[in-house]
Amino acid sequence: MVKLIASIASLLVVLALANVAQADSLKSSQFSVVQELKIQKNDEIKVTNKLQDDDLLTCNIKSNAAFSGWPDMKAPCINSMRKQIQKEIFASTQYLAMAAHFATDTVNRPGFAEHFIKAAKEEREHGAKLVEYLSMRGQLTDTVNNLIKVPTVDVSKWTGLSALEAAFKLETEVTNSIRALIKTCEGTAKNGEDNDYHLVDYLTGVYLEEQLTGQRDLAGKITTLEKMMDSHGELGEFLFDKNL
Amino acid sequence: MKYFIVFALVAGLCALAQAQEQSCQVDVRSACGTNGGVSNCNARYAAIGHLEGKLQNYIQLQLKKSYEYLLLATHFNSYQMNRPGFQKLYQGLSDRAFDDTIELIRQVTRRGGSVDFSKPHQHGAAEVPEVHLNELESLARALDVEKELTTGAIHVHTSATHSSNENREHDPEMAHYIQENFLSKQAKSVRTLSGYANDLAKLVSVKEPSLSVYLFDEYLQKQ
Repeated sequence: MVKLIASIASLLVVLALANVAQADSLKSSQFSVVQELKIQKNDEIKVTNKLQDDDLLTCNIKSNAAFSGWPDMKAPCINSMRKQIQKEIFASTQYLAMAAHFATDTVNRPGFAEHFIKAAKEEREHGAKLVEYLSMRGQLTDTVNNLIKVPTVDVSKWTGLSALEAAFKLETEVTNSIRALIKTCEGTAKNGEDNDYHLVDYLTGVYLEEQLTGQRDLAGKITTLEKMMDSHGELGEFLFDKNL
Repeated sequence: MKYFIVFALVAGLCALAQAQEQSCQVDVRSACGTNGGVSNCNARYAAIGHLEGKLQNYIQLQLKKSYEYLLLATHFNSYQMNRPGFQKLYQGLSDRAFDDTIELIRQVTRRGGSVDFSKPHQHGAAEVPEVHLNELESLARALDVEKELTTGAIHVHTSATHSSNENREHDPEMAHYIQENFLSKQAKSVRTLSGYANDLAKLVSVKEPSLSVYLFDEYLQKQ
């Protein structure tokens, strides 16, 4: 038994040393906090760590309150909301890729680049607002960690026109996906029992509104650029970019 | 006549040397004559070829951390955590990392580089971030993330300044950019988070730390 305790103690010392050695490496201070908590539990084991014995951390921070269980939103609706959030983040990253392409010196379309940077920020904002909405409705108390994944997106040698068309297609997909989300959150019960009226109203009034005005804006831009390119080719794109 | 031949030879050699030295002007000249491209007309110079990939990694790291902070903010925004101060702190860090992502894209493209978003991030792309943490653990985590972001900036800076390899060129512009826009800012955020972590660690070393955490959250709200 004594041997066992001694071996545990020596293991901890080794761990502590390794920890100091990896001070710069990832998760170091988090690791040390966790370790300090462990040490505190084994009162009899004295490890010369940077903290004094009296200053040892206590692990009695209450994380989750007693008040829980708020049966409100329905599972299919929540799952679709989560997917929608990831879609907004995907769109944001796709626009970042387009912005990076147009900002390249050999492409040199600063107007397009700024347009897509703005679009990327907007999409991220849309995603964040949906996340906030879920929190407001009592969701996201757990399983937050897998809510958003940074996606990899398509890259290609876009021209001004092909990028606007790709953006229009992407926006159309997002619009359709919001429509499907609304349908899911309206529920199936005839008496409207599982109809999430508030979320449906929010998605229809705020999100669809933004999507539709956004699509109109893109469609207008495509038309103008197409006409300019038709008569003046490269000069058309050059001038369009400067006024974007 | 002899002098003329020598002169012609020297001139010919010079022309040959100039043609071998890839330049925009040569490209443009040949493009006007035949149908060659102007691929040497670019904004690339100094160590950009060497730094491009490192910057791409750094950009993807910033983007990843931006969303990690967003999830951390979300975690503290739930009714069961209800810590608006912590939420504000992490939301701020998330927004900053996203803005930094965009600024870095601008810098890479300013130097003639490009960014490829079709490749996943080198380190742990599929790795699920840790966000279900208590207040103190979250500060420790954030401090580690800030240090990771600092290390990323230092990595780029080191590659830009230390031309230990003979093929590697010195890149003062990039070094200056990183120094001015990242290193001082990172030093500040690392210091702030370390201060928070140490403060809270002291505050919670009582039997019932709930009130301490509540007051600390209130303090964070005012920052």
